[in-house]
Amino acid sequence: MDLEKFYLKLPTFFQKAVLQWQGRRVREGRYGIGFNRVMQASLERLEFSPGRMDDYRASRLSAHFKYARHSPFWADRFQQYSVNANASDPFAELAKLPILKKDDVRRHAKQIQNPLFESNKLQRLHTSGTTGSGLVFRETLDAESERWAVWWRYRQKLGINPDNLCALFGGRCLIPISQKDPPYWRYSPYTRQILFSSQHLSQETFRAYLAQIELDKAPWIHGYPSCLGLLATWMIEHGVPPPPCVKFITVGAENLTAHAKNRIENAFGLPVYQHYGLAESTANFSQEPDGRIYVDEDFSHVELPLANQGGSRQVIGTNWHNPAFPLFRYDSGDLCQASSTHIHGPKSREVLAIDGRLEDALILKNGAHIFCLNQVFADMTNIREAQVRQTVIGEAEFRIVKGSDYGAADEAALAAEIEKRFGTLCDVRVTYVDELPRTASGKLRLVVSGISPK
Amino acid sequence: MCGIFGAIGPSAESLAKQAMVSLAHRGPDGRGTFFAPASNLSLAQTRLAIQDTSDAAVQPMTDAAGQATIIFNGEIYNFRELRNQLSSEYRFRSTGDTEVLLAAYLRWGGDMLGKLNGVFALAIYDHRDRSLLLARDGLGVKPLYCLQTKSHFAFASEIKALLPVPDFDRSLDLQGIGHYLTYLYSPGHQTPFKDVKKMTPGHAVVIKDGRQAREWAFYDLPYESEVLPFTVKGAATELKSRLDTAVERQLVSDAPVGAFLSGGLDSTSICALARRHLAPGELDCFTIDVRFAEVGNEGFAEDLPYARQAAKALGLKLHVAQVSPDKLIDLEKLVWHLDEPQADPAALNNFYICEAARQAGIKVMLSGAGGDDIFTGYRRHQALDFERYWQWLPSTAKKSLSLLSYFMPQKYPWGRRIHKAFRQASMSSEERMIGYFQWKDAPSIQRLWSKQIRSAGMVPATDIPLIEALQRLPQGTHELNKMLYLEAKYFLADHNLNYTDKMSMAAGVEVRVPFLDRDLIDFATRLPAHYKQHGQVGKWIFRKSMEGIVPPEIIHRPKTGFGVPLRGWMKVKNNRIEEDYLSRESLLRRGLFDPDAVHDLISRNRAGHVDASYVILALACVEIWCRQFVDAPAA
Repeated sequence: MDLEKFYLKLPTFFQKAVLQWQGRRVREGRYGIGFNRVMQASLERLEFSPGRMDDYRASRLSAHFKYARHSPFWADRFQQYSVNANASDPFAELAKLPILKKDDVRRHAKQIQNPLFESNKLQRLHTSGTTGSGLVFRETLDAESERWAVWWRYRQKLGINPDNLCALFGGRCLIPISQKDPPYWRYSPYTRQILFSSQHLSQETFRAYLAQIELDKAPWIHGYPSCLGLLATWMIEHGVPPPPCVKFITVGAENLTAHAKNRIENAFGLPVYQHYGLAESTANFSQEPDGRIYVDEDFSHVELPLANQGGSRQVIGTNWHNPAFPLFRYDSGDLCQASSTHIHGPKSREVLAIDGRLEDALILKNGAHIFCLNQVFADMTNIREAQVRQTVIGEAEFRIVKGSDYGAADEAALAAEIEKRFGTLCDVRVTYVDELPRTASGKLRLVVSGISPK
Repeated sequence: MCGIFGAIGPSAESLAKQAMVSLAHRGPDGRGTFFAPASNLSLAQTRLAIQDTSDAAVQPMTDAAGQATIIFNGEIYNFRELRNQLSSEYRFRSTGDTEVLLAAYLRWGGDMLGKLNGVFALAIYDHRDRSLLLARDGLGVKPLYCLQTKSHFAFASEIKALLPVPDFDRSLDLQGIGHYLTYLYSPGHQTPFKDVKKMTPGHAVVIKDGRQAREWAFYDLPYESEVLPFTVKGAATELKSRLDTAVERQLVSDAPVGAFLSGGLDSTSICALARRHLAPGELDCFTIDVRFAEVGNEGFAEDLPYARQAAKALGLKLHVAQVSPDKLIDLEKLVWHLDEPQADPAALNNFYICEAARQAGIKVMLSGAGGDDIFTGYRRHQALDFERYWQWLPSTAKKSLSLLSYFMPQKYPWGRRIHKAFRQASMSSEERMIGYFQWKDAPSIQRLWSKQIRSAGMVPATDIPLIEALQRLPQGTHELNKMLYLEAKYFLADHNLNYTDKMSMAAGVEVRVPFLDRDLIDFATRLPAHYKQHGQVGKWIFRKSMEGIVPPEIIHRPKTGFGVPLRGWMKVKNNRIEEDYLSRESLLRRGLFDPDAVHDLISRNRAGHVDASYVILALACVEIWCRQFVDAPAA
């Protein structure tokens, strides 16, 4: 049964009750009795000396190997690649293993699941499957707490505390799409959130959203950058000032494009912060108050090998906090640029840019893969949203949602930008549309490609 | 294993020479000193050669470039892996673990401590900045004491080596003394001397210019981790695998290895696993035969038949140390070797077993120590199962039970247990938890202090270290895990491991403890509590893991203590205790305890009105210790 559909058919009173119950469940699971302990330990690790951090990381990886040898999939791989789970240098053992692809994980999910643990006492989790079918797996309570602790650690550094009311712009369908009038939001008091419906956010309704944020004095807005980018665009276009109560803006789950970042910061007059993380817990990057983004070296073991000549690096991780579904050298499919690949201490690797996904590449006639396509639109302030679609190598469709002031000059600037970046190596067709489709989880993908990346 | 000593101060050099004499029993295979005039620092070591018995491994050891000098007591079980990591940048001259520590220090500094899997007390003098690093292993297997006087800083494996240090004010620490009466050992860093402190297990300090410049913890028992929902089969398999790995690691030795074998589950399991890694006939086992029947066995089942049964089933040669009961109550020998007034004659069992092993040419003994502290096994772990009932009872009922406890006969074991349970009924759960570790309640101990001490308001509190430890544990920690945390942190470190080390070293034998392997402890702390104490069955998951390895009759053998029938002995008039150590004159001269209160306690104990045999023995041990350590001349 589709629970979301069932929920949407309920009378409003029951919807609110369901959300309250769900909020309570989430709070107990996510911030249960062990959370404070995990959070405290997570904060203490920020103060670790490089040597102590090395020891911590080695001990986590070593413990992960020992638990993982019970998983049939990993028992086979350890044998195949002569991995010794008891070795004193676990990183040397890790290097013996091949990169684990998402497809491998999907195909062998049952064999990866660790029979050392009683599955009915583990948390069930699924990835959103932005680029394909989602993955369902299990994790321990501590694994969930560790993920939330590292996120809260980053938020607390920014000045956000758990008591702050959060205006959340997520992808969940919370309000029936047929509803034409406010409220386009629901409250979740147990998680201290106002859950705004992204599906109802439009040029006609956005003022109601802002008014509600002001009425509830929510100091913190968090959401998908595409959604907050749209809200920001309308605020700029209509000259609507931000609610004065808003002090923090954070985004996650999607790549924050330069375009969206500029928009949000201009509209709210506040810096926008982001973190990068995965439900699989194989990697996490957090942004510091000074704007720099670092790999959270204590959260997982992240490898950043070069992906292409443009300097982009793959994000490959090992999720040592979740022995129930161990992943070694898991290729997230995401790309980034980093200052260094040498790990030594809590803040040793700065992430200069999160480029998006490996699939987010445009393939030119000469076979070159072009990443960071958000740079094409970075200075186009009159473009509301954009998406690149490709089904044939060397050809692409740029779908553009015009802003209210979009004109001939913008059109010419876009053409010049395309010419500059791709020349004759890609035949680009620009199409104007009223809106862009989202994925099932409400995310906006920058590149929709029907071609497998090489 | 070795004895180590170091001093900083004007008399450092001569102190090192004296220390080698007082620590000679810890290192019969060699001795050496080092003196750094620039820092007025001396290091001394007496050596029991286990790894690399050649002269290349002699201590104190300095690296070829003259950057650092080390003295070290212990064993590093992962030294070969560390050596591989370091060999590209350090040219080794020996094959043992000491030089690996030195190279690791030069590579990682103090951070190297977190990389060690082993047992150790070490000191490294860094010639570059004239600093001294001191560290003790995470579980406290190896002892290390520190003394700060007006003119000197000194450290040693045993307190007796510190006695000659100039300006040593031998004032007593009343709180420390109170601990020995209450627990039979001193939990935490206190000793009977005010100025001598035990180095906390898992801690390191850096001394510079004769003063402590930095202290940090590099290890704590990981009870703050989440308990994982293991399946029974998975947990048993993993436990067996980790213990097997630990045993294999700890067999690393260039000297012959033997094992304790009492016929209980812990020691039999260690022997069974060790045997699989050795050639037939390579492992000799040792046990003790005390003729308890002469004095009554007081509930201590005789181990010998079980030890014989286990040895036969495992095909091991069993050596039996024959000991007459009177040798087990040689209190002066007990206290001298223990270095602290620990009133547990069971410690002497260890000495006689190790002595027999040494006579058979064995220098290293594997022990089952720690199994009860990690996987449960003591009666207090069973008693914890009744905690919920106390919580259900109304407070008036609990108070009534508490009053009733004073009328309970304490002559027999069941009476003592009910008395203790009832007495603790009205306490908070935290106090009750601590009460399980105490041999006598605080008011009873307080009455024993002399009138001067009581009237001066100097009666010490004795539960502070345990309360502080409980407060460090995160909210929601299971009661059993709280108890096991206290167990390993104090009862194991300050009592069992102290007497295991001191008594074995007195016989020139190194004891190794596979149950305290770091990987095994990490795993054990993450097991659900009911896998450890399953109703009234202790070590439930451990028993399951040993099925097929240890004979079933040993697996299901009820737990018995490793002790002596002290209560029976104390009921018989013990002339030396009453007429010498605890005589009215002796007590008045020492000024610590009230003679009337002490003699009243002895009478009531003999009459069976109270159970105070161990406390009386502790009082005697304190007096003996004072004669040996306080009254003795400095040199």
